[in-house]
Amino acid sequence: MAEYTVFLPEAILIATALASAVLGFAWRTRPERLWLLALAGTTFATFVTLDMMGLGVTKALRLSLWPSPISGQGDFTVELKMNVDRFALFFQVVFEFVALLVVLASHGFIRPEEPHQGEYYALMLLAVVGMMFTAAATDLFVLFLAFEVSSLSTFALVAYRKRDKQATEASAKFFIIGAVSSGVILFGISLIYGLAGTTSIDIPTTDLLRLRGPPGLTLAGNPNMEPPLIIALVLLVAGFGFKVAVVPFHMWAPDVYQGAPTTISVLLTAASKNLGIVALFRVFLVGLLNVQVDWVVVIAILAITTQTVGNIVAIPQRSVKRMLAYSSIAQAGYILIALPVGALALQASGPTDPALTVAAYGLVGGMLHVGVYAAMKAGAFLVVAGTESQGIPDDIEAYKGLSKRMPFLAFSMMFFLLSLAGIPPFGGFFSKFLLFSGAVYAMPFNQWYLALAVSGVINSALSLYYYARVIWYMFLLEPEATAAQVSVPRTIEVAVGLALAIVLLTAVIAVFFLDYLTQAARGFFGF
Amino acid sequence: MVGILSLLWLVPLIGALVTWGLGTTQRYAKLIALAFSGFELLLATDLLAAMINPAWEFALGTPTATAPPTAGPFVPLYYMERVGWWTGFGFNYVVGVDGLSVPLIWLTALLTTLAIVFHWDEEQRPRAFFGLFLFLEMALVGVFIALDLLIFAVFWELVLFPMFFLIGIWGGANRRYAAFKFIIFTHVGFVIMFLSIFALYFNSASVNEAVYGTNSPTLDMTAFLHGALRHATGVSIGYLALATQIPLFAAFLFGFAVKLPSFPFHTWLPDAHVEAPTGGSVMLAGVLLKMGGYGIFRINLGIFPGAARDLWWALAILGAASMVYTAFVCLAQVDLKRLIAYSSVGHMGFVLLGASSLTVIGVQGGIFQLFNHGLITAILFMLAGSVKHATGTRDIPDLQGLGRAMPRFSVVLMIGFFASLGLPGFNSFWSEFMVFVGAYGSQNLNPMLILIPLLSIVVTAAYYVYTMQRIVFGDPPEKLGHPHDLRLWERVPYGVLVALVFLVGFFPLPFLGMINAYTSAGLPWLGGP
Repeated sequence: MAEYTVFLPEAILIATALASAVLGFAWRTRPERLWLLALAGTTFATFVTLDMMGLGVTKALRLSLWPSPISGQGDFTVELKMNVDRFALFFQVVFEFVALLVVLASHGFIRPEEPHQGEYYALMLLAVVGMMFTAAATDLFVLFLAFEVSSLSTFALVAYRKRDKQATEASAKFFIIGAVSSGVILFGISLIYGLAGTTSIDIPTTDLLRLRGPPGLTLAGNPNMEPPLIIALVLLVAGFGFKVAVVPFHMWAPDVYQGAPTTISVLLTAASKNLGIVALFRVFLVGLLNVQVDWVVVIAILAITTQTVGNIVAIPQRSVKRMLAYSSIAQAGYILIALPVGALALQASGPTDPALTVAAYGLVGGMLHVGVYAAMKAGAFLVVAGTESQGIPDDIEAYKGLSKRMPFLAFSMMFFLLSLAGIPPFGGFFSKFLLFSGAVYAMPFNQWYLALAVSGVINSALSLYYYARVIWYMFLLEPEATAAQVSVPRTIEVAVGLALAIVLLTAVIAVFFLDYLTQAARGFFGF
Repeated sequence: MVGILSLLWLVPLIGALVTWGLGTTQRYAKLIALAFSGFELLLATDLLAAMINPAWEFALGTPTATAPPTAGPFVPLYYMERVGWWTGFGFNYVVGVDGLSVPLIWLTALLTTLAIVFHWDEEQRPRAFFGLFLFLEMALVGVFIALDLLIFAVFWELVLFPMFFLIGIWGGANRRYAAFKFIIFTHVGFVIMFLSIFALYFNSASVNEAVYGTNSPTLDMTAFLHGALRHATGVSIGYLALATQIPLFAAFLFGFAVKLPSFPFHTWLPDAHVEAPTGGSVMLAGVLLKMGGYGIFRINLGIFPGAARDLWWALAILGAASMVYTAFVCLAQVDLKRLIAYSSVGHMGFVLLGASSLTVIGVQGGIFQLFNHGLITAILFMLAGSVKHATGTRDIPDLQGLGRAMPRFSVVLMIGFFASLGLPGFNSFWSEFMVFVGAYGSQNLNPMLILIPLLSIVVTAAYYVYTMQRIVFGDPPEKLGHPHDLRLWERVPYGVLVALVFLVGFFPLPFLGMINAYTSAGLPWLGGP
């Protein structure tokens, strides 16, 4: 039985966003009130989502305000073309968590006298709402609309400091590329819509569940339609690939991450990129699962290229922000491994089929890495935000002896970087373990899956070099004689500490999470 | 005592945090570190005593081997602890010890304590320095007690970082290059090994079924150890097929050969050693290299006996090449520390050769060599540190007549060199002798081929005696000045180590008994004498 209360988190965030936009005029001189409002709204929304996932606070209090834990109450596939299931909730909580970190750190990063803070929080929360709806969407068109809500908000956010030349340039670049990729996605969707009407399904549709079937979108009815299908697939991969910054659609990412205010870079790299990932999961692993012969190899090659190019180009970077940008390109490449592995779900005939086990395992690895990646990447960018807020540029030379000048941030940065490199016992190690081992698990179905795992571990080894170099500068080199100890705004430290807790405690948190993720993955594949 | 093994890695971890975390006590950092490492040494000694003679244990309880639920022979592992972790995925916290790991655990605890004493005059950032030593001890002990491959991998990687910092902060002039080379080499070795851990995981369900009665993937090493033992001794169970074992054996061997290190993967070692501070070198050569040897015995022989019977020649070639090649390289060395570093590679060749013989005596000799080399190489690297401190140089041509200028130093140097080249009466005589006997008695190849690695003994003797002659004898040149002899805090570690070298040299049986208990029960399929 569907219950509309599953949309409560989104409702809270929209209300907060609108209130922030309106009250921004009244509280122009008191931005800390706006900050508190946004913080309260995000925290409450995160709590509600966590409780729906099965935290069980309302259950313990014997209240039934919203479904907890969720099981089918979020199924609006008929009415709204949306399904708030375990899978969607996981991504939603990741987006909300990142938003929480960004809002928290904004108090220290955005100076009180800067104008338009009401719009800043409003746009940020609306972007998150768009992401949350994307995670739940079960129709290509709904997915596209939600995707656009989020994208448009972020275009404006990048240019928040409108007198900053770098930021406006980044925003223009981001907007042009974003607009083109939206057009590309839309064209792909229209082709799919037409294809659905002329092949195995006789009515044109963009509903992902109907595309999956049965009978599903196959070329059985009309094999001549393969060329337009391939064009549609290329357009969709390219369009969503821009968002995820998959190589070769990645050129915008370093410029934009470097130019944007750093808190917004956090939002872009940790949340917006995962938005592209969830869209890829929904579109390819649900809607286009049946035509996988046409896309699995492409995505596998893109995954390997993205990892390798991201890592190799990260090596010579002197700007820490650009280095982190390229490293996040590489990380997206790791997550893409989950797509070819998940595609095995097509062969699954029932809940106990080994193909489903493998596909679900791969998707669990992908989802865990999405969560851990969001925490470690957000944390690393927040550290950069903290140093920037104290006037330290993001050039690696300026990080000399950082461990003496700001010990907490330097130590956190070290843990985030080691986690990104996949070093135990940090979170990145465990999520990469599941992700890469999923590819090995899939080997009985196709020997070539080994290439994905090999590429993943070798790239992880390669990446250690440039991560270790930052650690070298922070810990092993002495600071300049003139450099003094600096203190960072408390709110940024709290945000970094929250992200750090996730990265350090993944091994423990995952004990409670893995069952949930497995069920989410199985539900996602419809079993 | 319940939880003794967890205590073994928790004590140094807490010690590291306390040493590093007590912000205002730079002066007391070494005392705190010594207290924690001393307590750890007591725990490890108790464990060692209990394993040598169960009557000597104190508060541990008699060591009892834990049997798996299914009937059949099993590898005896003592003081096992098992806690469920990601149980749905088959990842658990499993630790345990046996005659293979206990000597190495004790060696780790001993060398950490002695390295801390040896650095009693460390002035540069002492809190971080001593904290890192304890952290390193934690990770090393963890590697030796871990019986779940995921836990094993976690500790294995944790070893890298304290060493990276020790070389990077307290190292010599070229430390950046050395630290990065160290971390990249060993990390690449690890990731190759890591891939085969995945493969092992997905092939483990039938093994787990046969040993623990659960048909689900697991990373529990004990399932593989028991399963391999049963399979190799003729009990019919479904174990990893030979075609699966061979690539996994090779991948693990690669990881361990980089760590050991074996020729041709050894090039990171001389650089790391030359740049590392003395205590770092002691830990690096004394214990870090032993991780590779431990892995070969525990995993390559313990989990893949079938592949070991097929691929023994790879071990033999790597071992013999390391021994012969580095012996000649040593002849050409100028820097005393670099010479000792290369000699370590050669001595680790004995470990590979012993393992490759697949005979009881050869394998025991290889395991014993791990322990003996740890004691001796610690002496040698400390000597290189002492002479650098006293004279300001480590270059052999600049040193002369130290017998007169630094008599105590020279005595220890001669003992160390003689022990290292394996004279009777010193500990490594037994292990090297056993390795050669094992390799000779191996049914695999023509016994006369043993002459090739045996050649290295002659060259080893040559470079040690030649170096000794140049350093110790003659008149001290003017420019050497008046170097001070060993200081008090240096004498203590030397005294302890020299005593142990002779003690083990004259009474090897307690250790050999423990190792024998491991090989006879854990690897009964080994051939030969």
